[in-house]
Amino acid sequence: MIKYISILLFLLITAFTTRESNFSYPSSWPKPTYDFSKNPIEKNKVNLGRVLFYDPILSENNSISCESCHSPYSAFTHIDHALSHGIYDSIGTRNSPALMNLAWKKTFMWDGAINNLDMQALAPISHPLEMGSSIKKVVIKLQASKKYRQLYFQAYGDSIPTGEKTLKALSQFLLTLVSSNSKYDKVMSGDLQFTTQEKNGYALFQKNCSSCHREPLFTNDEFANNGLPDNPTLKDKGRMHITLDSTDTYKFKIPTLRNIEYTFPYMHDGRFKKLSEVMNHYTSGIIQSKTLAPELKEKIKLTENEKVDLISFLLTLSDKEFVFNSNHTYPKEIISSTAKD
Amino acid sequence: MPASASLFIKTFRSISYNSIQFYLGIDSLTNVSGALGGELDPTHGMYWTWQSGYINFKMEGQVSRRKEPLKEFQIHLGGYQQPFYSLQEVQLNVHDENINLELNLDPFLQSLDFSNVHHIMSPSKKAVELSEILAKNFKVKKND
Repeated sequence: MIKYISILLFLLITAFTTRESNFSYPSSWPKPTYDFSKNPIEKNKVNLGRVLFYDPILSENNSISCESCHSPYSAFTHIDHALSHGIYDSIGTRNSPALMNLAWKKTFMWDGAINNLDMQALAPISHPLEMGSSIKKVVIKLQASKKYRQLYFQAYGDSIPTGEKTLKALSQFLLTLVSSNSKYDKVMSGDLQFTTQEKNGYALFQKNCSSCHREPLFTNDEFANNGLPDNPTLKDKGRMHITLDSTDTYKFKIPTLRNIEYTFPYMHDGRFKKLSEVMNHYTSGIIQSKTLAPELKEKIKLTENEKVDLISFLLTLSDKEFVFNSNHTYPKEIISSTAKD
Repeated sequence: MPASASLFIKTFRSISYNSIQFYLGIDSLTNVSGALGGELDPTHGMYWTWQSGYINFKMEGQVSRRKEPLKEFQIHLGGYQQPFYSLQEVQLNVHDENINLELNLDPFLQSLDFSNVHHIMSPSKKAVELSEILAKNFKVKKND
């Protein structure tokens, strides 16, 4: 009997503790894919990650921070820039993705090159057209900084920065970037109602877009060729560069549509400035090819009015609370209370 | 990261060994487990950055064919996903307690086509082939 009680107790305890502590999200959402047991969210680690995110120390010449291409006010992308910018005015080859709801992603980057959020920062830190540094160089700079020795001590009880601690702290901050307070979310929870136009747009969305841009995250996190004409300058074949599998040619990560109002320009190379251009692409711009998404083989038909309705629905995915969340912006308050270098 | 090409492994005197077994590289589960510390910390330079995955074997240098000028080469072997999973298991019989384990690089270098290829830096069929060649060329030698 005692044995059974202890087993029951054990089960009860684990049932409560395995829940991601300090990480909250709507109860109707799926379970996150990120393994929080390996990196449990703690305030001081989030703080450290936030300071790192805004610090150009991550780049070779201390000029570019993560925030340079991922501004909180545009849902963490580089607003109005088709291609990402790096050190010495270099221009990358792809549009910087908006950062939100990253705990649910299985792979990262437009081509899924990165398999875990922890490893994501290595790519921009090392890329010669982005930060042009290396995690080794970054860690050496951090180790020499009084400010960081204090922040690492507060986060890890050990003042010596390492690659592992640095990457995990960045993950901690990135994981807190959850966008779930849009008008759409408030309609779903019964607190608000769609206008007639938004309601029409939602029906059109569910009919034409939702198989790939699946609710509630507005992406299924898969890769697809959405029929864009090849850009002859960039010659970007997407996922195929990673898998070397020709059936992946021109396939790119399906992005979330949340906060789409703030994340222009659109597509992996930022070729469309306006949502109306995106609508026109899906109705009359699709290029047929072997790897085209099966959902797009048959033409999507939308009248001009329907396009407007659909856009009005997409604008209900804007989350002002997320974009102006003071916990996500430049960490003035943390930096001012930390040692100076 | 060894500071030289020699790596010393201590064994227990009271136990006799008849076989030695190890992996050349990092298994697929470890490769998808996020940031790791110690020897697996990516600051050691054995992790790809443009694409996730550990580099299992790295050889860099300069090569000159006939009278051509020296050319840089970089061979980074890795890959944790099929069809380019490059992890190799090595198993060797041992008869003495004090042994040297040697890796003969000659077959590996002979199989590189330095007239055409100077860089292998991503998972591929060739990377798997080269990893297999490395794994086959370990030899146990009595330490004199």
